[in-house]
Amino acid sequence: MMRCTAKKLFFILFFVCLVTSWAHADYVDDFKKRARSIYLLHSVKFTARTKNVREAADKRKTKSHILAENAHLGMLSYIPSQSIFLPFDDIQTIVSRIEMLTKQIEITKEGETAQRMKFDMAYEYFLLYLHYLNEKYGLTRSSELSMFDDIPVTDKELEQYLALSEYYLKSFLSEPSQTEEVFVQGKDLFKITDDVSFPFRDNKNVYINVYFLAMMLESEKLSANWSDISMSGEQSIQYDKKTWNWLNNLWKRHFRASPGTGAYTPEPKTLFNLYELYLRYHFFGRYIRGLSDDNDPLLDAQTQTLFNRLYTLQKEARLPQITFYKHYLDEAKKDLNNTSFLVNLYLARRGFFAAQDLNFSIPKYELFELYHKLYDTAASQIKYNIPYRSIIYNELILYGIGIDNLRLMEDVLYEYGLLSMRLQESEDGSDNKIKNSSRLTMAYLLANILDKKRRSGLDQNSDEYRDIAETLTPILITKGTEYWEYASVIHSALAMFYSRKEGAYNESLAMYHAKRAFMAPCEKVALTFGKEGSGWAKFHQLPGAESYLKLFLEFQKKYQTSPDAVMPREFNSNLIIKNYQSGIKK
Amino acid sequence: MTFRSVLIVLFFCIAFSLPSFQATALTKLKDGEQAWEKPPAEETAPSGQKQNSRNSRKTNTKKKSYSNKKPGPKLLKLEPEEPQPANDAPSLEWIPEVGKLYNTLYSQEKMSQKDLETFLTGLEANIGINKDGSLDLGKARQAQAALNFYSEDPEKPFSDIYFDDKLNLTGYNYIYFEMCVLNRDKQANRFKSYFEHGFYPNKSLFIKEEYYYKVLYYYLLITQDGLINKITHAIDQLNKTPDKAPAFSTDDILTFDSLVKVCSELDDLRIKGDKSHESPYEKIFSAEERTWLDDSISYFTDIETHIALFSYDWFKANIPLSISAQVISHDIRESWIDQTISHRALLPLMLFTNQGDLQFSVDKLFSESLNKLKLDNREVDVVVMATLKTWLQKQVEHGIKVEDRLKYKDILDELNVCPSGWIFYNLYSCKKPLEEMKEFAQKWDSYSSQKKKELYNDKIVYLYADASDKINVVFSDLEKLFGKVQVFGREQKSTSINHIFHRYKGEIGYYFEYLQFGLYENELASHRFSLANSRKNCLFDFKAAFVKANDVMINHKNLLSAYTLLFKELASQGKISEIQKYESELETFINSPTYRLGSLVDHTEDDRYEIYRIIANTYLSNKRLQTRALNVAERSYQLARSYYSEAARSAGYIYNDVPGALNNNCTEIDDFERQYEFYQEIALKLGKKIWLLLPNEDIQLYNRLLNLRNPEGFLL
Repeated sequence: MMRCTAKKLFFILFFVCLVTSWAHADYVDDFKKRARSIYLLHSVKFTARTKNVREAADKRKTKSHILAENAHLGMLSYIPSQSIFLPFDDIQTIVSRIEMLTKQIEITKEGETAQRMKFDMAYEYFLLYLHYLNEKYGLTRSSELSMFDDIPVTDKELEQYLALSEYYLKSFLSEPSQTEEVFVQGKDLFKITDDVSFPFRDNKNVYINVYFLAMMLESEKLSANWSDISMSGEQSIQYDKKTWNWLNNLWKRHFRASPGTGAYTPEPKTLFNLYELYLRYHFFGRYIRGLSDDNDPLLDAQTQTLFNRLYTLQKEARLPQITFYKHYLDEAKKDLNNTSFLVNLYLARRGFFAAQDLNFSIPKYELFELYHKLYDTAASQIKYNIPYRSIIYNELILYGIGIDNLRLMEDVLYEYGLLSMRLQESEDGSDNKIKNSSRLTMAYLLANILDKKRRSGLDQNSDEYRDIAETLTPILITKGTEYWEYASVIHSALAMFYSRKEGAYNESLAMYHAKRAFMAPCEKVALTFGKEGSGWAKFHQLPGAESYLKLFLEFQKKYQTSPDAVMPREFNSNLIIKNYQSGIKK
Repeated sequence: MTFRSVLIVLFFCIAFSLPSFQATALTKLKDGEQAWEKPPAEETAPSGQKQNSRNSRKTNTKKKSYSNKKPGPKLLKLEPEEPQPANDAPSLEWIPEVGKLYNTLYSQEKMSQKDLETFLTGLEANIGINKDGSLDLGKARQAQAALNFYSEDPEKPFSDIYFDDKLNLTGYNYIYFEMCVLNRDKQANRFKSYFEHGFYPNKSLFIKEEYYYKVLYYYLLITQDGLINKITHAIDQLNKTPDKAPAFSTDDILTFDSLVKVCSELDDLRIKGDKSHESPYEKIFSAEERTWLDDSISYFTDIETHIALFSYDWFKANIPLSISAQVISHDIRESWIDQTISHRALLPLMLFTNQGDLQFSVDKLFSESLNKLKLDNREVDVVVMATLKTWLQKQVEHGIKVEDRLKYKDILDELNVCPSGWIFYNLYSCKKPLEEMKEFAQKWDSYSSQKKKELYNDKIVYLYADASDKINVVFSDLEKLFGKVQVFGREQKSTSINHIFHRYKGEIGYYFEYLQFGLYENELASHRFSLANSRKNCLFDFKAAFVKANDVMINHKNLLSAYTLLFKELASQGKISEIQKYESELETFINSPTYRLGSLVDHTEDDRYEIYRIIANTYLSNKRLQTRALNVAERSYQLARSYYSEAARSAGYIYNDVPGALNNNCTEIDDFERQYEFYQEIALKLGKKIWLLLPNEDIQLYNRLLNLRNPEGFLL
């Protein structure tokens, strides 16, 4: 079934590609090949769209529970702003620094200063590369550039900058082959000679290790397939490990009572930034190298430590978004100790942020496709706690709904909804929370699909969703939540669908669903405020509830012969109707 | 054989020695120079001393005595006829002879004309100067060989003059020129004639060393004033009688040519040394000489001098283009070298950034180079355009900002299609008035009619005149190359003139018409002819541009704008038959599978809605054409529908090719609704119901969209 979904999606995308111009298709191909680090790793700038905005006629009633849901998703998809170590937006500074360094390097004799300059040079060229990569493939383009403008930044140029960076960095890196055995011993891995760090842009308080830069460099090279990458995979693992050891040392120094050794001890905030940048490239590196399926307990432990330290440092430096790393820390323990799924999940969640209202250089459905695969992989990497996959699927569904594409919802997301629910069926009562979450997500998706089908008039096959709507309705109406509205939306959409069909059977179905749509808020009121007394009067305060009442009354008149057209008595609905009608008469 | 002759010579050399002579010769050379009254005579002290010491060192080590075997006059008689001792050994006797005579000339209080004449003619015969001033290359080479031979000969006869370790041809040429300069009252012509016909054209023969540059300097000294006088005189004559050829002979032109070349060569020398500690320029010339030279150089290598000169038709017609090309290429090379020196080690990316005093901006360089194209000189064009292309290419590839890269890419594209620099210059300069007109056009509707009139009379007319003058120059040049754009009624013969030129010409015309159109509003018919009346107008140009390149978005946009204006005019003048004619033309463009007019335009910029509205409204007023109005309205509706279903498709609201009602922010919805209503309105006027004209789906779609907009709508 998954395959079928993928096929459908592919078909849609293929069709879309045919429609749009070939130049654009070329751009998207290049984008997929070269821009992985841009959309998975680097910050996406949020640019509110100002041009060509049509005033939305449909002032959607804000549903408090949806807001809460979105807040959670927003937290998960939180993208830390661009790391302070990668200020690649400021091209003027980069260029002037390169110029200055180029001049000075010539007249400086070999020695410590020259070494530092070389490192600076490597760093600046790395930033230059990132800048132009972002110029070419960034998700947001400056408004002056149209979709059709071919941005004159050639691949050759990008490759050249990266090669220059590598050229200057090369002299600091030891030969990989020599250190092969050292890894096994673990302890001696980080030799004293590896601790080569230089101040970042002449800032005496911030140092960066050469292996840190080397790790980032190799990841970028590998991700965009630049030049010779035969060694990059191996090297990036090594550099990654050395960087981790360096960070480890910094961590130890940070918590030693008296640092007194004169060694570099960064401030908590700086240390946090270093760890965060490491996290990004570490995960990115694991993703692009394509992890093998066998577990590496060391790696799992490292991941947990990493999140733990980030969380600790965040608390210590009193930085915002405190729940973010806490959440990951919790999540890292969900699948026994396996953490490999987090890699894809962490990267996939950036899609949420990206899909919000941005001026896209590529259409949203194509953007969805990019992140969609990551969610899929993340789910498949969960090995022990299978039901947890549902959580991931649910997230994917919520993300997809945000794209507001009916075909996507019906053809792709609906299948995921079914999958997510089916996963919960086999495990009875294991985790009610997840089970509930799956069903609610499905209900939300269903409400969206049916409502959008009704509004757009594309409701040819709405009856296909009737069965599942029936099974979901009971769980939506509870005392503490506002999910009744999903039920009302679903049933009213179905009611209107049937009312447009011919035949007595359809008429009775229409009436039946109209009644269900009305009953949902009634039951909700009864549950919340009690059946006795005047609790029912709160019905009129429920946002949007009256429209379902109106629908019911209208259908009642229309289909008088239907059994469901009888004046209902459940949940004080008769009182509500009476009250409403007297209000109109006045 | 050679060996034997060498022995003979050696014998003579050893037989007589006269060590004291050499020293006197040297001091004399120096004294003589100092004795000169004119500034050129100053020999810079360091070089003089250096030379002096070197030479004396040499004398000391050799310790040989020399004598003059033959007196001067005898030599002259003997030299041409006397058979040489051995055929392949160069005759060397004249070398010490010349030296001796040179020495004698210096030692005299007042040079005897006879001696001078002997000296000069003797030298002429030996170093190959023909009577007419041209150089006998064979003889020159022989002399060169003789000098080499002589200087390497350890037992040479004493010669009185040494220029360096080696005696060479340049040096002997130098003394020839030197003597001419010293007696320039009488010998100036001899100098000029040899320099222009013999020495300078064969400059590759001579070593580029101190004496070579001194010769160049003497040349400037001897000719400059005369030439400037002649030019001033010629200009005076031309001012009085422009049609008559002035007194400026071909010889003068040659002098001018040589002078410019000499100046740029000296300038190169000057620049070369600028950056180093020991500037050869400063070494060779004294401070006084340098100031004098700098003035001359800047005068003759300045592009303005040439532009001024070429403003006279006679000069333009008679002076070879290569002279100015020389200046321009020299100038360009200079600025280019400047840049590469100061940014030698840097990436090309950094070429044009600001850094303190070294400021290079592309814009500045660009406009400077552009100015050079004003000359309208083929050879200059080649140089300047090649340089411009390099610069622009560099900008496109390595510019810092992506916006700049795009901007310069556009300019480069235009430059690449310009066959000559003059065309590019004019094309580029018509951009500015055009931009200003565009700006006015944007705000035009917001102005009061009073202000429009003022602006029109005070500014727009002039802008238009300026722009159209320039574009006309472009076209007249292009037509010379590609043939005239011929218009046969409605058709025009295609030429290979690039669409970019047509686009610019069309835009200039269009904006002018557009602004004018806004001016008259209701009294349009009485005030001006419509676009359709003139044969060559923006519509023709836009059509030409579109037909040539229909893959460029702007061409679609422009053509549609021109049609809009045209239909507006025709409608306000009530010319229905014209409208019919142009409508079918427009439809042909739209429906033709090769052109598909409008297919590249974004829906917000598609002018077709407006065109259809104008046409339909006009047809409506005519009973006979009312059904045609309905057709037009339908076309307009279908256009909006196709845009709409495209939008719905990309948003995923589509089922079996039927678009659903969208509920998001997109302007396609507005257009769809508007065009639907327009269609409905026209149908209603003709007594027809819309639901009989359109399929049910479309009606439902419209109603749905309307419902979605209604905040009171059911269950929204």
